[in-house]
Amino acid sequence: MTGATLLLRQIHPAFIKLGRVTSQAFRPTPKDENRLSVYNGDLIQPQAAWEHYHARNLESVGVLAVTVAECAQEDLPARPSPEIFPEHAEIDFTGCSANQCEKKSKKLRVVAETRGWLYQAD
Amino acid sequence: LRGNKDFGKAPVVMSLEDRVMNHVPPLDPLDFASQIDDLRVLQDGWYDGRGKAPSAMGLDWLLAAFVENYPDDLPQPYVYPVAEGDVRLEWDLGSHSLSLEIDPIRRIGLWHDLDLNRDHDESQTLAMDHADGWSWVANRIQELSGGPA
Repeated sequence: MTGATLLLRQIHPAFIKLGRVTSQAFRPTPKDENRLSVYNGDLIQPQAAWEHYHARNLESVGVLAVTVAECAQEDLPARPSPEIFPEHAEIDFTGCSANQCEKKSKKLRVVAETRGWLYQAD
Repeated sequence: LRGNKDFGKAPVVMSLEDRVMNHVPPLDPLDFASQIDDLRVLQDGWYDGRGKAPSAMGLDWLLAAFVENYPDDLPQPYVYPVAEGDVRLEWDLGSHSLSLEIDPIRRIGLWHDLDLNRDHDESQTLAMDHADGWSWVANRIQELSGGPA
Protein backbone atom coordinates (compact mmCIF):
# COMPACT_ATOMS: atom_id res chain seq x y z
CA MET A 1 0.00 0.00 0.00
CA THR A 2 1.11 3.59 -0.67
CA GLY A 3 -0.16 6.92 0.55
CA ALA A 4 -2.50 7.05 -2.43
CA THR A 5 -4.05 3.67 -1.71
CA LEU A 6 -7.78 3.93 -1.27
CA LEU A 7 -9.15 2.25 1.84
CA LEU A 8 -12.66 1.18 0.95
CA ARG A 9 -15.21 1.41 3.74
CA GLN A 10 -18.60 -0.29 3.58
CA ILE A 11 -21.47 1.86 4.87
CA HIS A 12 -24.16 0.15 6.90
CA PRO A 13 -27.74 1.19 5.99
CA ALA A 14 -28.40 2.39 9.54
CA PHE A 15 -25.47 4.77 9.23
CA ILE A 16 -26.98 6.87 6.44
CA LYS A 17 -29.87 9.31 6.89
CA LEU A 18 -31.21 11.37 4.00
CA GLY A 19 -27.96 10.80 2.16
CA ARG A 20 -25.83 11.93 5.08
CA VAL A 21 -23.42 9.40 6.56
CA THR A 22 -22.65 9.44 10.28
CA SER A 23 -19.04 9.79 11.35
CA GLN A 24 -19.54 6.55 13.28
CA ALA A 25 -18.97 4.81 9.96
CA PHE A 26 -15.33 5.86 10.28
CA ARG A 27 -14.58 4.78 13.83
CA PRO A 28 -14.25 1.29 15.25
CA THR A 29 -16.78 0.01 17.77
CA PRO A 30 -15.47 -1.27 21.12
CA LYS A 31 -15.72 -4.81 19.76
CA ASP A 32 -13.42 -3.95 16.86
CA GLU A 33 -10.41 -3.73 19.19
CA ASN A 34 -9.60 -0.24 17.88
CA ARG A 35 -9.19 -1.41 14.30
CA LEU A 36 -11.50 -0.19 11.56
CA SER A 37 -11.97 -2.78 8.83
CA VAL A 38 -11.57 -1.63 5.25
CA TYR A 39 -10.76 -3.12 1.87
CA ASN A 40 -7.35 -2.53 0.33
CA GLY A 41 -8.10 -0.53 -2.81
CA ASP A 42 -4.85 -1.67 -4.41
CA LEU A 43 -6.22 -5.21 -4.52
CA ILE A 44 -9.95 -4.82 -5.15
CA GLN A 45 -12.27 -2.39 -6.87
CA PRO A 46 -15.13 -0.73 -4.99
CA GLN A 47 -17.95 -2.69 -6.63
CA ALA A 48 -16.10 -5.98 -6.20
CA ALA A 49 -15.47 -5.07 -2.56
CA TRP A 50 -19.19 -4.44 -2.05
CA GLU A 51 -20.05 -7.75 -3.72
CA HIS A 52 -17.53 -9.57 -1.53
CA TYR A 53 -18.99 -7.93 1.58
CA HIS A 54 -22.55 -8.68 0.52
CA ALA A 55 -21.64 -12.31 -0.16
CA ARG A 56 -20.57 -12.56 3.48
CA ASN A 57 -24.18 -11.67 4.44
CA LEU A 58 -23.12 -8.27 5.69
CA GLU A 59 -25.14 -5.14 4.92
CA SER A 60 -23.80 -2.15 2.99
CA VAL A 61 -25.45 0.59 0.96
CA GLY A 62 -22.20 1.43 -0.77
CA VAL A 63 -18.54 2.25 -0.54
CA LEU A 64 -16.77 5.41 0.60
CA ALA A 65 -13.02 5.72 0.90
CA VAL A 66 -10.14 7.51 2.52
CA THR A 67 -6.51 7.16 1.52
CA VAL A 68 -3.60 5.87 3.56
CA ALA A 69 -2.14 9.40 3.47
CA GLU A 70 -5.36 10.93 4.78
CA CYS A 71 -5.27 8.50 7.68
CA ALA A 72 -1.60 9.27 8.32
CA GLN A 73 -2.49 12.95 8.50
CA GLU A 74 -4.66 12.02 11.49
CA ASP A 75 -1.88 9.86 12.97
CA LEU A 76 -3.84 6.74 12.13
CA PRO A 77 -1.67 3.95 10.75
CA ALA A 78 -3.22 1.85 8.01
CA ARG A 79 -1.92 -1.57 7.05
CA PRO A 80 -2.91 -4.69 5.15
CA SER A 81 -4.36 -7.47 7.30
CA PRO A 82 -4.60 -10.37 4.84
CA GLU A 83 -4.99 -12.91 7.62
CA ILE A 84 -8.72 -11.97 7.63
CA PHE A 85 -8.97 -12.33 3.84
CA PRO A 86 -6.49 -11.25 1.15
CA GLU A 87 -7.99 -7.81 0.42
CA HIS A 88 -8.62 -6.90 4.05
CA ALA A 89 -6.88 -3.89 5.60
CA GLU A 90 -7.33 -1.91 8.79
CA ILE A 91 -7.06 1.60 10.13
CA ASP A 92 -5.57 1.48 13.60
CA PHE A 93 -7.11 3.69 16.30
CA THR A 94 -5.06 2.08 19.09
CA GLY A 95 -4.09 4.58 21.75
CA CYS A 96 -6.75 7.13 20.79
CA SER A 97 -8.96 8.48 23.54
CA ALA A 98 -12.72 8.63 22.99
CA ASN A 99 -12.42 12.30 22.10
CA GLN A 100 -9.59 11.65 19.68
CA CYS A 101 -11.65 8.90 18.02
CA GLU A 102 -14.52 11.37 17.65
CA LYS A 103 -12.33 14.03 16.11
CA LYS A 104 -10.46 11.74 13.75
CA SER A 105 -13.60 9.92 12.59
CA LYS A 106 -15.34 13.21 11.85
CA LYS A 107 -12.40 14.35 9.76
CA LEU A 108 -12.25 11.05 7.88
CA ARG A 109 -15.97 11.30 7.17
CA VAL A 110 -15.53 14.74 5.65
CA VAL A 111 -12.73 13.68 3.32
CA ALA A 112 -14.62 10.53 2.32
CA GLU A 113 -17.83 12.42 1.61
CA THR A 114 -15.92 15.04 -0.35
CA ARG A 115 -14.43 12.24 -2.46
CA GLY A 116 -17.93 10.86 -2.97
CA TRP A 117 -19.40 7.41 -3.33
CA LEU A 118 -17.12 5.01 -5.15
CA TYR A 119 -19.95 2.52 -5.42
CA GLN A 120 -23.62 2.59 -4.42
CA ALA A 121 -25.83 -0.46 -4.34
CA ASP A 122 -29.12 -0.25 -6.26
CA LEU B 1 -50.13 22.07 7.56
CA ARG B 2 -53.78 21.32 8.21
CA GLY B 3 -57.13 23.07 7.84
CA ASN B 4 -57.55 22.54 4.11
CA LYS B 5 -61.36 22.45 4.48
CA ASP B 6 -61.42 25.98 5.86
CA PHE B 7 -60.82 27.93 2.70
CA GLY B 8 -59.79 31.48 3.34
CA LYS B 9 -58.32 30.73 6.73
CA ALA B 10 -54.61 30.80 7.30
CA PRO B 11 -53.16 27.31 7.54
CA VAL B 12 -52.17 26.18 11.00
CA VAL B 13 -48.59 25.15 11.48
CA MET B 14 -48.47 22.19 13.86
CA SER B 15 -45.77 21.93 16.45
CA LEU B 16 -43.69 18.79 16.71
CA GLU B 17 -45.59 17.95 19.88
CA ASP B 18 -48.94 18.28 18.06
CA ARG B 19 -47.74 16.08 15.24
CA VAL B 20 -46.59 13.41 17.69
CA MET B 21 -49.89 13.55 19.61
CA ASN B 22 -52.03 13.43 16.48
CA HIS B 23 -49.94 10.92 14.55
CA VAL B 24 -49.67 13.29 11.63
CA PRO B 25 -47.05 12.37 9.04
CA PRO B 26 -43.96 14.53 9.38
CA LEU B 27 -43.45 17.54 7.13
CA ASP B 28 -39.78 17.77 7.92
CA PRO B 29 -37.61 14.92 6.65
CA LEU B 30 -35.58 15.36 9.85
CA ASP B 31 -38.70 15.07 12.00
CA PHE B 32 -37.35 13.77 15.28
CA ALA B 33 -40.27 11.45 16.11
CA SER B 34 -40.02 9.85 12.69
CA GLN B 35 -36.30 9.32 13.09
CA ILE B 36 -36.83 7.77 16.52
CA ASP B 37 -39.45 5.46 14.98
CA ASP B 38 -36.78 4.29 12.54
CA LEU B 39 -34.75 3.11 15.53
CA ARG B 40 -37.65 1.20 17.07
CA VAL B 41 -37.49 -1.47 14.38
CA LEU B 42 -33.89 -2.37 15.14
CA GLN B 43 -33.33 -5.69 16.83
CA ASP B 44 -30.32 -7.02 18.67
CA GLY B 45 -27.71 -7.94 16.11
CA TRP B 46 -28.74 -5.12 13.75
CA TYR B 47 -25.13 -4.20 13.01
CA ASP B 48 -23.87 -7.23 11.11
CA GLY B 49 -24.73 -9.61 13.91
CA ARG B 50 -23.55 -7.21 16.56
CA GLY B 51 -25.37 -4.08 17.61
CA LYS B 52 -27.63 -3.75 20.61
CA ALA B 53 -31.16 -2.55 19.89
CA PRO B 54 -32.01 0.71 21.66
CA SER B 55 -34.35 0.23 24.61
CA ALA B 56 -38.01 1.00 23.75
CA MET B 57 -38.45 2.74 27.09
CA GLY B 58 -35.27 4.67 26.49
CA LEU B 59 -36.51 5.83 23.10
CA ASP B 60 -39.86 6.89 24.64
CA TRP B 61 -37.97 8.94 27.21
CA LEU B 62 -35.66 10.47 24.60
CA LEU B 63 -38.52 11.49 22.33
CA ALA B 64 -40.47 13.07 25.19
CA ALA B 65 -37.39 14.86 26.54
CA PHE B 66 -36.43 16.17 23.11
CA VAL B 67 -39.95 17.42 22.32
CA GLU B 68 -40.17 19.11 25.70
CA ASN B 69 -36.73 20.66 25.79
CA TYR B 70 -35.37 21.24 22.30
CA PRO B 71 -36.84 24.25 20.47
CA ASP B 72 -38.33 23.12 17.18
CA ASP B 73 -37.17 26.28 15.42
CA LEU B 74 -33.55 25.27 15.86
CA PRO B 75 -31.82 23.05 13.30
CA GLN B 76 -32.96 19.48 13.75
CA PRO B 77 -30.37 16.74 14.14
CA TYR B 78 -29.75 13.66 12.07
CA VAL B 79 -30.43 10.64 14.30
CA TYR B 80 -28.49 7.37 14.15
CA PRO B 81 -28.28 4.21 16.22
CA VAL B 82 -25.05 3.35 18.01
CA ALA B 83 -23.80 -0.22 18.16
CA GLU B 84 -23.85 -0.21 21.96
CA GLY B 85 -27.57 0.75 22.11
CA ASP B 86 -27.10 4.49 22.44
CA VAL B 87 -28.62 7.10 20.14
CA ARG B 88 -26.49 9.61 18.27
CA LEU B 89 -27.62 13.06 17.16
CA GLU B 90 -25.49 14.93 14.62
CA TRP B 91 -25.60 18.40 13.14
CA ASP B 92 -23.46 20.13 10.50
CA LEU B 93 -23.46 23.86 11.22
CA GLY B 94 -21.00 25.87 9.16
CA SER B 95 -17.56 24.49 9.86
CA HIS B 96 -18.78 22.71 12.99
CA SER B 97 -19.38 18.99 13.07
CA LEU B 98 -21.49 18.42 16.18
CA SER B 99 -22.61 15.25 17.88
CA LEU B 100 -24.51 14.30 20.99
CA GLU B 101 -24.37 10.63 21.86
CA ILE B 102 -27.06 9.78 24.38
CA ASP B 103 -27.32 6.74 26.60
CA PRO B 104 -31.12 6.60 26.92
CA ILE B 105 -30.97 4.36 29.98
CA ARG B 106 -28.49 6.33 32.07
CA ARG B 107 -29.72 9.54 30.40
CA ILE B 108 -26.23 10.85 29.90
CA GLY B 109 -25.11 12.71 26.79
CA LEU B 110 -21.61 13.05 25.36
CA TRP B 111 -21.33 16.28 23.38
CA HIS B 112 -18.56 16.77 20.85
CA ASP B 113 -17.95 19.87 18.74
CA LEU B 114 -15.28 19.81 16.04
CA ASP B 115 -14.53 23.08 14.28
CA LEU B 116 -13.06 21.86 11.01
CA ASN B 117 -11.69 25.29 10.10
CA ARG B 118 -9.71 25.66 13.32
CA ASP B 119 -9.07 21.94 13.81
CA HIS B 120 -10.25 22.45 17.36
CA ASP B 121 -12.63 20.27 19.32
CA GLU B 122 -14.49 20.50 22.60
CA SER B 123 -16.42 17.90 24.52
CA GLN B 124 -18.82 17.87 27.42
CA THR B 125 -20.66 15.24 29.43
CA LEU B 126 -24.25 16.27 30.06
CA ALA B 127 -27.07 15.06 32.31
CA MET B 128 -29.91 14.77 29.82
CA ASP B 129 -32.53 13.98 32.46
CA HIS B 130 -32.33 17.62 33.49
CA ALA B 131 -33.62 20.55 31.47
CA ASP B 132 -30.20 22.15 32.02
CA GLY B 133 -28.54 19.54 29.83
CA TRP B 134 -30.95 20.17 26.97
CA SER B 135 -30.80 23.95 27.32
CA TRP B 136 -27.00 23.77 27.19
CA VAL B 137 -27.25 21.89 23.89
CA ALA B 138 -29.92 24.25 22.54
CA ASN B 139 -27.81 27.27 23.45
CA ARG B 140 -24.77 25.86 21.65
CA ILE B 141 -26.85 25.03 18.58
CA GLN B 142 -28.35 28.50 18.64
CA GLU B 143 -24.94 30.15 18.94
CA LEU B 144 -23.51 28.14 16.09
CA SER B 145 -26.52 28.47 13.80
CA GLY B 146 -27.32 32.09 14.56
CA GLY B 147 -30.92 30.93 14.73
CA PRO B 148 -33.73 31.94 17.04
CA ALA B 149 -33.95 30.74 20.65
